[in-house]
Amino acid sequence: MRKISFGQMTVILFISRIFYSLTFVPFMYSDVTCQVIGFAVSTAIECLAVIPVIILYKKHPDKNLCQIAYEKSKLCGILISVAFAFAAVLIINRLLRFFGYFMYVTFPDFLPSWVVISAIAVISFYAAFQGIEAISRSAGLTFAFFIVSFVIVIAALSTKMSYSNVMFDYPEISDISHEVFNELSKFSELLLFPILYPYVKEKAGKSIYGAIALKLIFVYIITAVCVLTLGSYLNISKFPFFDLGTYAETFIIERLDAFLLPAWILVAFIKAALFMFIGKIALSTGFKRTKKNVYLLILSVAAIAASLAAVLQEKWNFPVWDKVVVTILILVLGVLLPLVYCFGKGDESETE
Amino acid sequence: MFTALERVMKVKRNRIGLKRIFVIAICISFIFSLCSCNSTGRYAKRDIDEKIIVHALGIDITKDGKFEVTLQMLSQQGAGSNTPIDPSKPNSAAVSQVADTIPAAIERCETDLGKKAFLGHSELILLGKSVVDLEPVLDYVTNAQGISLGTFMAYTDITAKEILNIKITSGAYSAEVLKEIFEESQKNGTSTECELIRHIDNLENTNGTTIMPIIKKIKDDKKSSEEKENSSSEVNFGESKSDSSGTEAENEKVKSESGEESGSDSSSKSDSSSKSESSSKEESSSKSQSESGGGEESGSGGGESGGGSSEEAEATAFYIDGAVIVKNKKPYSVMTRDEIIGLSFLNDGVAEQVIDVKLGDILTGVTAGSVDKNTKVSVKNNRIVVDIRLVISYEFYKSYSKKEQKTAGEEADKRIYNFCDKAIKKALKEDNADLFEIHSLLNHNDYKLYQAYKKNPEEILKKIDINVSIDSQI
Amino acid sequence: MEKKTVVKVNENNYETALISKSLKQAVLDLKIISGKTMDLNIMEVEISEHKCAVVSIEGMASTSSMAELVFRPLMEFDVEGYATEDDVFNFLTKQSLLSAERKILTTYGEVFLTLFSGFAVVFIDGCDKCVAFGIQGFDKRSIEEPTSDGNLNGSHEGFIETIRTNISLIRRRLKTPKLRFDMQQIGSDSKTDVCVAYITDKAPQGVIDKVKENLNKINLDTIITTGYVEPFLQGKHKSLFSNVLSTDRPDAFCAKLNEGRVGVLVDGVPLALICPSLFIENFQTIDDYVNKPFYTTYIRWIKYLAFFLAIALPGICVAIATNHPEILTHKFLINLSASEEVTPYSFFFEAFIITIMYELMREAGIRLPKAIGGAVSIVGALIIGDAAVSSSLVSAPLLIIIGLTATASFVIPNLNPQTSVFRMLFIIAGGFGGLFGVTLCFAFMLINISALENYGVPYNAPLSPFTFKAMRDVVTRPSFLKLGRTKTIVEDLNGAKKI
Repeated sequence: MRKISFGQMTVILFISRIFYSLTFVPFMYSDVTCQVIGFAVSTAIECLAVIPVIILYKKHPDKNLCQIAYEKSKLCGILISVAFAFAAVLIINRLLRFFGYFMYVTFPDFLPSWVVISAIAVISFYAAFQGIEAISRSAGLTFAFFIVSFVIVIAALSTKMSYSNVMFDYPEISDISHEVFNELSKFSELLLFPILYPYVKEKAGKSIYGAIALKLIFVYIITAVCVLTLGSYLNISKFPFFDLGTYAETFIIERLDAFLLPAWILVAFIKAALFMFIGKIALSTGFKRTKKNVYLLILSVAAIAASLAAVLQEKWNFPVWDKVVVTILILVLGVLLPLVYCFGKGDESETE
Repeated sequence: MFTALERVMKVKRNRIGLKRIFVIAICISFIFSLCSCNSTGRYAKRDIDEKIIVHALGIDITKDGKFEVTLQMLSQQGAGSNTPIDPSKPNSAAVSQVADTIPAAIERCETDLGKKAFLGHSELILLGKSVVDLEPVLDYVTNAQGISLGTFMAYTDITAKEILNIKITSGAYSAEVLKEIFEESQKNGTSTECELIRHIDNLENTNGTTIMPIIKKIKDDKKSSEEKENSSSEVNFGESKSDSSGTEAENEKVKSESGEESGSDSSSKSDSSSKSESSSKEESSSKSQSESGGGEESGSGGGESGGGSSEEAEATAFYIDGAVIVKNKKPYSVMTRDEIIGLSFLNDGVAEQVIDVKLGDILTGVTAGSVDKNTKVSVKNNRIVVDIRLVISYEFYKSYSKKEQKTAGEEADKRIYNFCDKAIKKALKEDNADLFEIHSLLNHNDYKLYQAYKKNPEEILKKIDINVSIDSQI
Repeated sequence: MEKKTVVKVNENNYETALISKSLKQAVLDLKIISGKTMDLNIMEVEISEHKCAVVSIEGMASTSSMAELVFRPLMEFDVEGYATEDDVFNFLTKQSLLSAERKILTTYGEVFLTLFSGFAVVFIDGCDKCVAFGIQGFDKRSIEEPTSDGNLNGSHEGFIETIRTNISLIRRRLKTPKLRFDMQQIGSDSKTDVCVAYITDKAPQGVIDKVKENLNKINLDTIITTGYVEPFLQGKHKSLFSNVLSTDRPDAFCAKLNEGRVGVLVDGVPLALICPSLFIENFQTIDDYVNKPFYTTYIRWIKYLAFFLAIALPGICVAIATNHPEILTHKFLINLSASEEVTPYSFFFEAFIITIMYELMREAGIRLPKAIGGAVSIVGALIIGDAAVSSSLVSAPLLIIIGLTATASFVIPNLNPQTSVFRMLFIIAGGFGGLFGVTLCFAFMLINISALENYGVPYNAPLSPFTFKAMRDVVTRPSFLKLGRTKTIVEDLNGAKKI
């Protein structure tokens, strides 16, 4: 099997995770103190949640979760594969709709939403078609581009930050728990990791912790910059980080909002490609077909169709059940199943 | 060559697969639908020359309560084939339209010009004196596509339409001069921060208070300079605070006080006139130079007047004088220039402000600049005491002895203290306005007080005493 | 017995046919096989009472060398008593030093291969073998300065069309026995010499074997240029970029061999192929290693910028002017708007047309004879430079953009095909989709580059996968003190070990 390095794995997990932090920081629903605590608590929970997968990886470094399940029971393997594919479709669908909404809000008369979504999906399909190595290499360069854009925006805003914009508040427990739930519902990397770890040469476990740490650092930086610069404007902003771009100014570029757009697109397409890829791997493990790209096509078409159906009506609602289903899938497929396969009876008999 | 190569490579291309035809068909249909989207309807692409690059957006309220929107835009005066814009000529034109809402008025302007307005580069949103409720304006600018958060937002003591119709010949376009005036005024403390985002932030955070500078035009005749000295006290935006129905009366009052003509009928279009003016303007280039305004002025845009009408011929440039306190999204009262300087020293600091001091019999100037600021909050006798210690550096003429420098420094300290005192009295005591970042101070120093402030800011503000001390560095 | 040796040979079965013992028959066979081609010279002589024939191809063998190195020794051949045909053969093969290169041939296939390579072949009556002497004397271009990959401070020698001269140019620079040249003939008709060059302890054995395997897969009739070989070396992946680098500089070729790459030389082409190659190598020239590191570092970054400008500048400008004018500074925007006011077409269409015109003129400049080539630039300067602007067909800022783009593309000639195509794609994407379209186009390019891998080495190494050690020669150019100590070879770039 082809291998990617520990650093590449860290980067792809980070890129996948940072998309929501960039696109949808819901300051509108909670205050800064609550968010800061929420981030820390959710990160701690995330660190605990990955432990079963890491144990699974230590036991079976060359087999993904679907393969392990298939070997134990064929039916279970198929069911889990289908569940992974369903989760992938759901996440891609959410991602595409989020991106469509982002473009709709920030550049309303720019391109029809269906074009935006289809174009992103097609490029992601192409990336997924080329395999995990191509995605991981692209993610490396995307990461570099993202860092450069990020630094430029922060540098351009450095004179506009003010400590007086920071307002502390005693957070309510209910707000924090809501924030933690919000963060956990975005932790879809827990689905990526059990499928992708066989591709990592070594230290796969560290890569997910590295990605979580990187995410925490960036989320805190993003929050700090948003709060220090935008102040109370955060309460009415839909995309705070993007709004920073409209405010940032350099001597070459008048406004950096459109300059930030490429970073968003690249991050989105990498995330979509990753989920298309794991969907394909999951299905091909469950159904054992040689032409794996058929699954990729089916997955992509399903995700695009679902997104377009919602987008063509210009209904930009993101229902709570959507978030709940994804969170349940993450918990079941990313935590519970690895736990079962780590400590389950069948496994013991095998080790004996 | 290549077909030959392919032939020798024995590439079998006898049948083109159905899959390939399918992919090609999808690609072609995608491109066609993209092309049709790009050429018609909502998503039709407009080239750069099919857009009106709006430099400044002016908003006034007409007598019948409608919005009159003025768009100042580029109207280039070419210098030659290789230099499409001649900076020695006024390169702006303005178009006004009246409608029930701001977007509708802008749409009418677009219809008049046959082009789409591009607001992404508007540098200034100018509110006429008649705008007594900012709610619809803020509602529009926060939701409008493309308006930058860094756009300046200010008031004028006349109509925004009048100001935006003035043609300035220095710089590539008029709004550029206006923006530079704001920036320079912010440096020397005669203007507060007036970026859109700061207004929104203040209105959300404080007791619904923000402060917007007032931009005025400099008159050429002596009468106007006299008028200017008293202008900030004369122009009473505060009258509108009582009720919005007083708009018309307010307008009438300003007109009679300033003794100037209203400039244009609020519902009339000025685009056609401005276009004809620009053509005749070059001939009337022998207009008076911009008035420096003596020691009073904060900044002024130079250049010749460009207007064809008698009123525009009078105007030579702009300056900032005082500011409007906006409370609960309505203009509440007006602060004078001195009060604004005091406010600037107390808040953001002043980069460079020349303070007039008397050294013996000679009136001389000392350049003051903020170095540091320390703030303490304490509660004494049921009063909230905010101690502000300002560290200010002075620069003198080199010829001054140390003793003279010390004396001048002390004089300057007194004057700055006076400015600060005036600002505190006006803003805090008279208007009960949180212009001193008190919400932030309380939040960072005493959370209980902050909670009390959140519940009833007016009550807390009444209990606040601000003590100012100045340390000078010579 | 006699019947057995008389084989009816013709042009279809000659390759394995044994040479006839009878000189008369052998000469006849030669004539039949070659169809009495006019450039086949057969000179029959008698040496020590034995009939012999000296055969050569006109223009391929040097006549003076033939007289000096073949005829004169043969005439001076003298033995005491009767000499048998074996004595003559032994004299030619063992006792004389007629030529540095000497081959004993047994089949007509070998005979014709050596004849067409410029050898003279001596047939002896009664002997079923013949001897070939290397006295090549065909006209060839002398070693000249490379035309495409010019440099200031490095060697001014370039490869020429003759493979053996090219081999000598390489050998002169790498005097190590570990440098190996494995020659093989490819092309069922052309029998072109193709040589695989490598240094044994530096190039991974897997890469060497894979290159040879790929060459053996070539089933073409003729090999005219390196372009015939390249697709087989590149592998199956359909990419717009090529992971096989071609160079016409022996010094650059040697430098790459030293880094563990495998080179392929093709006879008749003044170019050599290097595989695997990296994307980043398109920006490296031999001058980089002659100039001071600080200057090289600076120039390298200029080249990276040039690639970006050559590919994306017009597309980004179209995207910004059409869809995101808020990015531009206000004065630039109003100047652009003022310039566009008088032009009849959209900014996108103007950019499209000007780019097409530029490509036309570039192609015309290459194809036209040098004497007329100058006229193209005059026409370009007159039509595009002056008339187009003064007649308001295109705006002056756009012309500056395309001019800058064209100049930038000259800096990286290796990537010219890719930059040309992607430039147009970026313009179209920028026109329709603004920066969104440009970014998607960039994403497509990124994936295309990232997916390219051959011989176990990713094309975009050492950028991604990131190799810190190798990155020093990408971001900067370390001095030779450091470069010598911590040299990066192909195995460091992730993957070659796998083969």
